[in-house]
Amino acid sequence: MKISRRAFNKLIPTGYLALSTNQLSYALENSHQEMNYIQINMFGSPSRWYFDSILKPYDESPFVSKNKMITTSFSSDGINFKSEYKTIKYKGLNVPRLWNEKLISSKEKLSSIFDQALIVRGCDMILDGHENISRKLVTPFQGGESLTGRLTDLSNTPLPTVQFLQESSPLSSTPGAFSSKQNKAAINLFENQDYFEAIFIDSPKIQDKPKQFIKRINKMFGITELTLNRLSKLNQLDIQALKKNYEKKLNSYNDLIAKCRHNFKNLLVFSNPISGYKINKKEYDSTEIILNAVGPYHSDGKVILDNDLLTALDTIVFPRLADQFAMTELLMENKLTKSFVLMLLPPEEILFKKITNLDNLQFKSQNSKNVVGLRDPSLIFEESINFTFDTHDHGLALEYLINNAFFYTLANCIDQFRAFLKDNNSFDQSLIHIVSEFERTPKYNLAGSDHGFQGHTSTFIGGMFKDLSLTGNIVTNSRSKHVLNNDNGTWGMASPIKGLGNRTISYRNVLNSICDILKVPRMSKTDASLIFKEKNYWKPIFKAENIADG
Amino acid sequence: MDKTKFALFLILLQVNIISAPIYNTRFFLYNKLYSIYGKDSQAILQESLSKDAYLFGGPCNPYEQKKINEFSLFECNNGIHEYIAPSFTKSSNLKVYKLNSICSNLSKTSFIKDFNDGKKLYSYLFKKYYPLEELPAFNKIYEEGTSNYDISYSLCMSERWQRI
Repeated sequence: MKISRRAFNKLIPTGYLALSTNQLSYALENSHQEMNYIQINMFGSPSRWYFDSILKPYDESPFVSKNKMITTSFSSDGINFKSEYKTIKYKGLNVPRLWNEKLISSKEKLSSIFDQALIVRGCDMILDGHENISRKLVTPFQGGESLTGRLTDLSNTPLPTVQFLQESSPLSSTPGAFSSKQNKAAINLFENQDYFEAIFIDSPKIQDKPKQFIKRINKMFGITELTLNRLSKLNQLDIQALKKNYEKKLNSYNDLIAKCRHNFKNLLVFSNPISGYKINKKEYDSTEIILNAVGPYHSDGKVILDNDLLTALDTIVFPRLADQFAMTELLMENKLTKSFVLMLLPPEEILFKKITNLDNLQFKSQNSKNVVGLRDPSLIFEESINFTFDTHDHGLALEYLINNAFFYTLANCIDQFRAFLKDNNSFDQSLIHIVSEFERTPKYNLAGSDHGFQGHTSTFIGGMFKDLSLTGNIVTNSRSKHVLNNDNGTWGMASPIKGLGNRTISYRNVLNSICDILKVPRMSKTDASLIFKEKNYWKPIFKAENIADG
Repeated sequence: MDKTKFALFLILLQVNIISAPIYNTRFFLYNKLYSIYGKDSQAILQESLSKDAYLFGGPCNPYEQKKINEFSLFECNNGIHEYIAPSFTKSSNLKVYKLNSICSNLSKTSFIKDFNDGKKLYSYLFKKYYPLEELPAFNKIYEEGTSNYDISYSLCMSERWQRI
């Protein structure tokens, strides 16, 4: 083919245009994904102030305590209650009391799981909505490529991203936003599926002769790519051995969770008694709305009257938690995939022995005062409740009880998982991302909490952090249009950062930071990262500050 | 003309990279394989294809309230969410892995095992898998004495009939 120099030069722009298609530019600008990404996603958004939402990081940080639901220390005799946001000091930060608890496996304090971690708070999610924000957690631009899709495309592992789904919102949340430029699909494991059987089956090893025959048949139709080559890694697996290994891991996690359950009564956060509401005891000067009187003991239209709420944790279960961690370990150990989305399920089967409906309560006159009594004393019953992370209608007592139990159990699972990563020399190459859609804003009557979408916390754990660090600004006392949530103190609402051009952190900043850590091209070209590298470790650019509300 | 050819070459290179084969859904797979292997295949196909709407493609019908047959792939066997499973899929490692198992199990059925003549079996199967193609000579693909299993398995695992 003869082309003159002039003609060739004219064709260069055309050639460049052709080459700058997504697929090719991908191939040219990056390397294979080396790092592991494990997203622990709590869809529904539980209140994080018990666990990893740091509201008063330093002694000098302004902090306004206006709503008793923002608490790390709660006790109640059923008539009066004490609630305080208490912290302990850890690595220069004031952190929730839960961090003082002892972990089951390592015997270290819970704080140790954050030894190499970065907590990003004060991220404004702009618009409300569980599904819409949940999808944003992996996709910066609606309908566009997702982080998980990108990791799948860049990975040389036999399997794509594995997503553990939950029934309540299977594909309208984070997993549903999976989108790969190479049109690959994620592996979705559903709540009611046997995870092992969904992936591993007795697939026979291919022999050479049949392989030759298949090649010849394909060649007749001009197909030269032998898809059987895709089988090589999967075909080498010893399914029986894998199954045994999975069962061993599953038993280990189940055992750990059972030990957590037995240990709840020994936790410091539960060292003071927590009673349900005591009928006819507390006196009120005037007749208020019943819900305002019994708010802390409210549970979705019912009121808890048990004498000791801790006993309800005897029956608590954490559905599929062990399975998700066990399968994640199995797939990582066999180098089958490098990215995971674990949609955690809220705890279930919390048995309360004395519950009554809210409409069975009424104000009664007693010695010229008003007390809350029962309309019909026979309408007290036993009920096993399934918790939700989206605690619009779960009062302070229930939230405190179940969230602490949940986060303690989760922390133990993370601790065990971290030990697995270290044993496999993968901790430095793995990024654990604990996330939910947003923070929560407590209601003034302590009967529940609503969506604090103007605040979001993402916690990262991995060997690429030298120490524990915190970034992101929050306001000390938020203003809200909603009567229920206005003027309720410091809960994590985002505040602008000077270094970001006086804007709040946007989730695209968080996503780009994740991309930097995972060594993949950034998801957004224009948004800054929140971290920088110093001597092989990632550090936050901005120090966390609490800003007085203007 | 040469300049044009070169520009076209660049464009076709781009197109070739972007386009990737699309595969038929599990409904097609089920019907095709059932028509080839008969009743022996029913349990195998129901077990494998009903569980993997996302992997093989083929959303269920959320409005199917009444079962037409005892078993229906159109039923949302694993939950209502299956109605948004993709209509068509591309090749993936897991899909080939699972198809490998399906083809192996189908090739072990008595229908295949009991076929007396390997060449007749080949003729039957090839015409079923590729009805519009001319039947190539047996020895163009296979050797003398190739087992019934290998004949059935290799045709099942061949690519072309799975693609749109």
